[in-house]
Amino acid sequence: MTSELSLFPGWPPAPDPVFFAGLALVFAGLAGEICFRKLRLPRITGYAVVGLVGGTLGLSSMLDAQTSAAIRLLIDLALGLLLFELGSRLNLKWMRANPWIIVTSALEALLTFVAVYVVLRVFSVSPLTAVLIASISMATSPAVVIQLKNELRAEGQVTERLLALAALNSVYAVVAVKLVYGWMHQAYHSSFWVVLFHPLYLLIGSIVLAFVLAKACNLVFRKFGSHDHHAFVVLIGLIMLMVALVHMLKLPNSLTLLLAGIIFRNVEERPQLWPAYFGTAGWLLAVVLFVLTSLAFQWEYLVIGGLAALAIIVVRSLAKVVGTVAVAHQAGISYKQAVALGFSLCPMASLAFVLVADTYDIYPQFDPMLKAVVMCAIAVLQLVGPLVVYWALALVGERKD
Amino acid sequence: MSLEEFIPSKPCTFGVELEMQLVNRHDYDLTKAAADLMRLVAKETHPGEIKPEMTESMIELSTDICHHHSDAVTQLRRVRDVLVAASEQLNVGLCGGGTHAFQRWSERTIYDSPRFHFLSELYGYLAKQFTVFGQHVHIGCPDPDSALYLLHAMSRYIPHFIALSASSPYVQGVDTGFHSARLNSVFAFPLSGRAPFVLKWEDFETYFDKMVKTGVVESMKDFYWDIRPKPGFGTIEVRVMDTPLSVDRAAAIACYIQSLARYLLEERPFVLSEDDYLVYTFNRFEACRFGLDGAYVDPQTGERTTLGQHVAQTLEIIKPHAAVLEAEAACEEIRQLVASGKNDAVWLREVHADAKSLNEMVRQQCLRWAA
Repeated sequence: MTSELSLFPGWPPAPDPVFFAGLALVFAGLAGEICFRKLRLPRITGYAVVGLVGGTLGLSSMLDAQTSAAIRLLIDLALGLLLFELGSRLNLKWMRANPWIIVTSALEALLTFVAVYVVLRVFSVSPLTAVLIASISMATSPAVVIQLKNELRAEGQVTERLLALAALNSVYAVVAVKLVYGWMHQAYHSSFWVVLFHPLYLLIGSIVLAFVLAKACNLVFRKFGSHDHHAFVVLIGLIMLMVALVHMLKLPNSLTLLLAGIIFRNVEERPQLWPAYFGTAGWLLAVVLFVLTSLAFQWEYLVIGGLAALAIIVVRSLAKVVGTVAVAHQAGISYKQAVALGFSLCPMASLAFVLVADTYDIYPQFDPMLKAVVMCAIAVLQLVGPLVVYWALALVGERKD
Repeated sequence: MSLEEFIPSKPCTFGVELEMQLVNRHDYDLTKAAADLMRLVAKETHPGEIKPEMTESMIELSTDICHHHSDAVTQLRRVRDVLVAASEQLNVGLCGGGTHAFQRWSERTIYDSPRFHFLSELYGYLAKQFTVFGQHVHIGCPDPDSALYLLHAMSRYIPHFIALSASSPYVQGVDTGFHSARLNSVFAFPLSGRAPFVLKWEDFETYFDKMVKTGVVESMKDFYWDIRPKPGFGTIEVRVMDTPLSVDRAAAIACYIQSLARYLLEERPFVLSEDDYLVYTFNRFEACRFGLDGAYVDPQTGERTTLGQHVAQTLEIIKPHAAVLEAEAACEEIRQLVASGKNDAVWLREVHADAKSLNEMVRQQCLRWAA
């Protein structure tokens, strides 16, 4: 009897993860369209709202360890693709022709680092945690920037510089965080070798792997030609392989993919255009990325780090604006453009999330303040950041849609 | 509004205008950079002028009044260098070519000025589709009647200029089969084509007044003729050329026109008649479609040659005039161009055949422009 009954579902029927994934996508898709068509807001804001609501309903706590690991891989893959695309838009020749871009970049990142660190110390956050948060704060969300550029079909000097500065400050942030790990190892490990070699391993490993991936992509590109959609399958496969390799070798995913994009673009003279095919598949992954990032937010973070998060959001934006405006004239943009550029650098999302998650992967007992402050900042900036970019690009007339 | 007064200018002086493409350095599609470029070049001193054009993806440069080939070469190179330096600051590419190979016209933004917005309203999609890039050459004339003579005598050489400058084989991502597809866009405008056959300035004024009375035009600017008089400058303006891929080629073509102008004004070799225009559109089509290999029918004798041969013959005839104007180097460049049969359109097709990518082709266009 029992064996026959088991052919029928129990009551209530138990949904599996696919059910929730489907549900999340339906809601995210709807929320995105409502934002875009009815409210004239960027779609990303809608995705983030769905993530926040899901998190509040306890969706993230329902996930078992295995699903969580799978989700982390999915995030890495989605973010990896976006970082590769962002990297492949960075033209190093431009930096040589106009070194003031580098100066702008260094200035805004440095100001951000210092300002955030000082504010956090005022909030009595421990020095190590403050340095880590300040490092993470330098990065402008690559995912938001690339996604908005594509969604708005934005074009012009602010857009161009936004992409370049985001790529550069993401590199700084990841490298800085990895260097801070060296410092952390000192506190937790006694071995001098670990302290010295772990950051070195991470940096050199990323560069080597990035180079291999970039050359492989260039090769595929050359063999198939730039307009072959089938080549895209191979290229996506290469990226997936690389994300897997990065996991196996415990290297920083974000840095490797970003560097790979930069190398891919800059070792060849010919335009290397594969991310143009990113299209629908890429969009889907990006939606998943935005939802998952805000899904991880928990309201208790607000109690611990809410105020500090608010403070760093404000000083971080100001630091970025000051940085871009200070050398606007030399860099060849108007003050209006510089202000728009500075504010456009404010988004903070999945890259910051990944850097926080990495830290707790290595040291699960690390200061909860890190998680609280950064996750609060991400929650706010995932909602507000895209809007700010939206307005900034409209202000300088670079938005088409 | 009546026609401007014709202000005489020194015969056979000339000026060159070039409309340039502004492309991004990622996929080399047209981009939005005119306003930024204008801001940067405003600080630089250079001969001639740099002006925004109808769309944000276009900028126009021009020379001051030139007397010799060497003036044009020096000035054009200098303005080009200023523009290239500024564009590098902005990560923008600058190139010649009559059309952009794969831009989508719907993507273009209209430059923020009342006249351009008015034109955009009036012509609708034509205004954006008109994102084509031409070279204009002004030739100075001593008096208005000479200007009209020169205009109508020069008309028979229009196919030469088209074939020599042709650099627009690709439009919207496809090979059109034409050497100059740009002119097909120009023909879509209601007031394109040729000037009415009148040889006396007062007759031209009468024609102009009648046109104004119909309400169809307000000024000479509303005529998109292949050659049109510009009374304010005391010139006729030859407008059929595609922007060549290099400033040197542009200067050579300008001085070929200059030498021809001297020949026509000094020798007055033709008795002009309306019938000269019977073969006009045929010859023009052949030049657009087949370049220097196109057929050329002599309007007076009906004799048929290829355009290339006809240019070569013409070069021989105008040789003494080129010598007086110090335009020999320019005419030699044109002779070599004809001998090789390789105008810019042919070059573009070769680059595309080799690279198999229009993006890469546009990148090489940028290299040629900056070289």
